[in-house]
Amino acid sequence: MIKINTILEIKEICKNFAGLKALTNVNIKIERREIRGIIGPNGSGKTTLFNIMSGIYLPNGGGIYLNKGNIVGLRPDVINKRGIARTFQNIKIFSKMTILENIMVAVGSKQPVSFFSTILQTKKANKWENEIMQESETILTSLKLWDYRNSLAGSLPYGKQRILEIARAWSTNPTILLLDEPGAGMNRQEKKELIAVITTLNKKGITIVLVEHDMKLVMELTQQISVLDSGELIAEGTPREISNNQKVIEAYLGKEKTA
Amino acid sequence: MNTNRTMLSIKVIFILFLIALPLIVRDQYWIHIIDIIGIYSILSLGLNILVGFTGQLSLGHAAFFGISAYTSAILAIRLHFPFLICILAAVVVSAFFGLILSYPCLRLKGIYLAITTIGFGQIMYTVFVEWRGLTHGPMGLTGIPSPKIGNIVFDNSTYYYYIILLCFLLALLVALRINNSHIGRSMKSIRDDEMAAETCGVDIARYKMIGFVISAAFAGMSGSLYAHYLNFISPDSFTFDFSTQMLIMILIGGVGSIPGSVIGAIVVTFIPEILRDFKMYQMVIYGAILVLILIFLPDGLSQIFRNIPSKLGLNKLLKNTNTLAGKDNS
Amino acid sequence: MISILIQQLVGGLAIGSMYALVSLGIALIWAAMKVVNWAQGEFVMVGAYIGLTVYVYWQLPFILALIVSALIIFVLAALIEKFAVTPVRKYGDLSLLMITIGVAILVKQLAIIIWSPIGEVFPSVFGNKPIVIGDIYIVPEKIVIFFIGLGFMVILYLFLFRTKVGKGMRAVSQSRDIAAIMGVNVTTIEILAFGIAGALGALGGVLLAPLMYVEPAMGTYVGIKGFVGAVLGGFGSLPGAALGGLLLGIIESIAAAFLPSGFKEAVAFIILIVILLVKPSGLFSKKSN
Repeated sequence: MIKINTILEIKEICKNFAGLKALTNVNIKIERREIRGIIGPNGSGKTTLFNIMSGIYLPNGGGIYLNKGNIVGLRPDVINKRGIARTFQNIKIFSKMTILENIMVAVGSKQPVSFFSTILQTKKANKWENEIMQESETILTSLKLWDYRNSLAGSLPYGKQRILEIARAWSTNPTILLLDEPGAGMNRQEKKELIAVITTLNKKGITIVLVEHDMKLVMELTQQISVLDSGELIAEGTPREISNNQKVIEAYLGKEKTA
Repeated sequence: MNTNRTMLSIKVIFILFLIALPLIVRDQYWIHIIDIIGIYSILSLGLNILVGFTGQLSLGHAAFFGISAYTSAILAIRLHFPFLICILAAVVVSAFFGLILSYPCLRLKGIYLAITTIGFGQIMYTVFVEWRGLTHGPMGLTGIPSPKIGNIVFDNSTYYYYIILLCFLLALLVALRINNSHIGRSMKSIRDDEMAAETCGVDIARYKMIGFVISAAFAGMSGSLYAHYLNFISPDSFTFDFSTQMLIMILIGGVGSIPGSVIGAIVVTFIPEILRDFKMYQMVIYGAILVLILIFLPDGLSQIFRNIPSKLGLNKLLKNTNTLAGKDNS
Repeated sequence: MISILIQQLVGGLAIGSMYALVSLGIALIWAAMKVVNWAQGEFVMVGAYIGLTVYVYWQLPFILALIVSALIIFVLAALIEKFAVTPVRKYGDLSLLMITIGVAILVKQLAIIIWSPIGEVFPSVFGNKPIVIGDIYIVPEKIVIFFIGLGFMVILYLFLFRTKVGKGMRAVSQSRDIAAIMGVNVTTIEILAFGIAGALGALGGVLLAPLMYVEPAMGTYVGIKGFVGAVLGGFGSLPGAALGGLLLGIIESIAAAFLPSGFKEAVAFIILIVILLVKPSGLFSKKSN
């Protein structure tokens, strides 16, 4: 039965890398407006899954259905325009550009103006440029980054860089936001800010899929969790259910034993 | 806004200065040098858009310089087209080849990209040398007519200066507009992190193509100017060594910097001239300067100039934080 | 027709094995330190000039020319790594590429000052009177050079796979961090990699000298060949580089027999571009798209 408020369906996704099975028959349904956690020991395939969802990798089998349409095979920028935005495990901001420019790139990519209009600075081009500016200002102000707007993104403190990356992803007006270990390397204070940002974005209606290792973060933010181990989905449930789930505990402990 | 008006006045003064330049520098020899600098600046600006903004290495750009020079020259010599048509055709043809080159380059990175551009340069060079019917081969094309507008023939350095100036200002305008627009920002995002840019909705292929086409078009303009200025071209000017020289120009001046493009052109043209008396050591000093700049001034010479305004307290004047128009991003 | 092909093949193998040495030098540096060494061609050129000095000016045995050349360029390359390449590492790939280009220019100009801008002919070492077998004219020089080149490749292989240092170098090329944790001195390896690549280049240069005209411009010329060979075989793969270099030599040689001489260069590049279009990571690389 297809739930009416399923916004994204990951169906039978498989991915191999030169014989190594990274993902095997993964099936996950993401509900509209939820905050979903995806957890699992190292190497369980979480980032690979994100890469497939954002169009960076092609799966060997299966499909990803966004609003009923299969996005497998589409270019990452097309997938972004369809509504999926993401951040990366190793921060990938545009470090040699200013914070403002980082946001403006994302805002502007939604509807680029033609080359000649830009060069001739037609009314339409100027109007669009102003709109980009205004929207960027709104986004940066709401995240308290407006004062830093002309600083180079690479010069920001680590925690703020992560927030910037999330802001940039948000600027593309997504329906789904994939966050890949946004809390990695953050201190307590920064994590508090992160929680506030994620919660705010979710309240605005954005569905969030969160890969995280920090269990506190996961427990606090997510409503449902999917657990991967060695490329397979081994459990799904509420944070409470998952923390008591025998299979999940074994998966994590098992990895510790062999490590 | 006051800042806007000041910026405008500075720009106007700058342009007036450039217009008056030949009257200030009367020596024909130095005006000739300035002409060459002008031609190279346009070339350099174009290359910076591809390499500096979009982050795509091109080690075969001499090919575009040559394609446009030959196109312009042949149209003028064989078909007696007026200069204006020749230069326009040169720009279009060069841009077209830029488009062609962009296709294989879209998926390539790093050394693969570099080698492909080198290959393109080499293939074109071979065409220049071997297609004797069209290009006269190694002997080159002589008798390329100087531009003629009405009764005025632009066959001396001073007159020609104004043609070059016009083209330079046009190129500068386009470069500045690209720099401060969504196109420029998207290009730079590709340079900084291609994968991230793509997931932010940036159409990588489109902007890489634009980069190649525009830089080829700029080279197209310079090539034509070059041909009709020197009235002679030969394949010797369009070798791999020259492609390297172009890269050196933007490196010395500052990769991705618009003023840097001009600075680089100035340095690359001046040094051989200043060191004329030291013919033997000329190139060694040149190589040494390049190495030193790379090690100690990685952002090029424009780095120095960027620091001067702040030292003179002019920062507030030049910082256009809220406005878009007039934002000359150095 | 067959006889021409065989002749060209022999010639191609000889030049190809020299290209292979250059490509190997390039691939080695890339594999070990992710640097594109544009100065590799200049190592070859200076190597050839040193060979010229030792063998022709000072009339010393050829083998001495090889040894002296390799040693001097080894040191030169190591110094370049330490003082020009490492300081620029932190500025990114384009800067790294350009510093090697800058060094290449410097080295070339210094060579012009030290020796001369005009080239010289290097006398034949192993006999260039062709041996006639039926229809085929084979120059002994080329065969000998081919095998010497092959010999050096074997020595390199033994070094990389049988010696401790060589294994350290392979570890660094797989992963810098893990190698460091395992106790490998990464800085030393980097300097060594450059040095060895330089020596390889020098050896290639001395061996190329009898086959080519020795002049300062040969550096850029051979350098580009080295790159094409390395890319052809899958950039970073050492066996790929060797095969790529050999293949390039053969392609050029055969093309020279059937096309006007000017097209030799273009043919190699056209083939390269076509291959890259189909397999963007080179012929023998294992990367799939």
